[in-house]
Amino acid sequence: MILFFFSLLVLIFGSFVFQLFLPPVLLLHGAVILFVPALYFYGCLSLPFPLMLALTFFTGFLNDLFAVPQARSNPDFPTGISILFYLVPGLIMHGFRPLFLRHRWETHCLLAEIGAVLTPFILLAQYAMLSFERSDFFFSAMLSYGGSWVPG
Amino acid sequence: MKSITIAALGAFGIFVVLILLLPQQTKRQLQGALFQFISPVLRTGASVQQELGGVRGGLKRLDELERENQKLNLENEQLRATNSLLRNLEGEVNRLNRALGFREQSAFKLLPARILSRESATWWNFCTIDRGTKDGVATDMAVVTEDGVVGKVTTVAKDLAVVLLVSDESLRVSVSIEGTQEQGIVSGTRASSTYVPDLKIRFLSKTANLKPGMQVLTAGKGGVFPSGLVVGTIKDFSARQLEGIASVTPAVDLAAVQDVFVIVGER
Repeated sequence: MILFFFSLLVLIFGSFVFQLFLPPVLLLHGAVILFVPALYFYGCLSLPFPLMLALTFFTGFLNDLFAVPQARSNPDFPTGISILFYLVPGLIMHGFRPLFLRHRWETHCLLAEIGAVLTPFILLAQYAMLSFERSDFFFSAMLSYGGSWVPG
Repeated sequence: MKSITIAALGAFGIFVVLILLLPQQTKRQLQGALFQFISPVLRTGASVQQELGGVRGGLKRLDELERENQKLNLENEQLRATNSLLRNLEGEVNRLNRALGFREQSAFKLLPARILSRESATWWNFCTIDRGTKDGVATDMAVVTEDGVVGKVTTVAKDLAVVLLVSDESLRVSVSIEGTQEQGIVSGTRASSTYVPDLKIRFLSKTANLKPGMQVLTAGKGGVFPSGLVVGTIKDFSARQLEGIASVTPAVDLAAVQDVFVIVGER
């Protein structure tokens, strides 16, 4: 289990680096391909609770280090806040763990879809935080295109 | 609830609070160290990406690929490989000539840099360049091209730096409008009706007589950007209750920019 956990950490770190080389997909309205949430949710489904918390901490913290520019005086939002954004959907996915452990392919398909549905909530939470931090909440038609596409 | 669960929750809470309370300086150092750690990967990836022609075109569907393949086969019969190679070389030479001319004519000491990576989620917000503290780059240095302003340096590692792009909402630059007395603050927009985000100038006078196509130049008042750098051109102007607001098309093609210059001082 520990070996699997560390493999997930390496994969998540690798995905963050890999995503640096992925431009927006113009054919999908400039959507973004996200590998990290898919791996993270997989970890939430398969790991026991303490390791799932450690995975959440690692993923959220790394997400902020990779994605939030640390400007001198006015960062977009506190580094580490994404840990909490990942925690909520992560806990929901972890609740499905007993179902996942039955190892039936149809439930795995269903859980993959639930993960895909939960991913935009992480992005929306980060967007809302950024919006409130900078001024007011702002919504554009561009966002409603669903600028994210999650493999899974 | 099991004791191990309670202990894990407690430890998780403590670590989260510790991370949130870290000083900004430490977080910047952590980010710098992280990018420094992955810099070999970024450099290798950037060169491979360049050799492969990039993946900017994105993923395509199978039928689109088939159509494109047929089209390319047709074109391939008509064009010789040497012609294609020469055209690519000509474009590269022209681009580098423009950059070299700009560097030699500029009143500033310019450090050439290449964009290493841009994450898709923050494509219009920031990028990393292959210059760092060992090349004399420091935070708050302006980053430009021969066309105009690109952004400013926010985080610096030993041999790479993070550049906040002018299209980011949090980067504010004092600007003046060419041929007028008007001055305002330009910043990026969070999202746009078009794919490439426009910039927005605020705090203009309501009666400003701005026409589309007028050049927007840096005013040099913020201490980061010297005056006279081109930011973009006026797209449209609207008068609000208290101020005039203009949208600006960026001078630099932020979607395609590859080579930039860091202003490290004056000549």
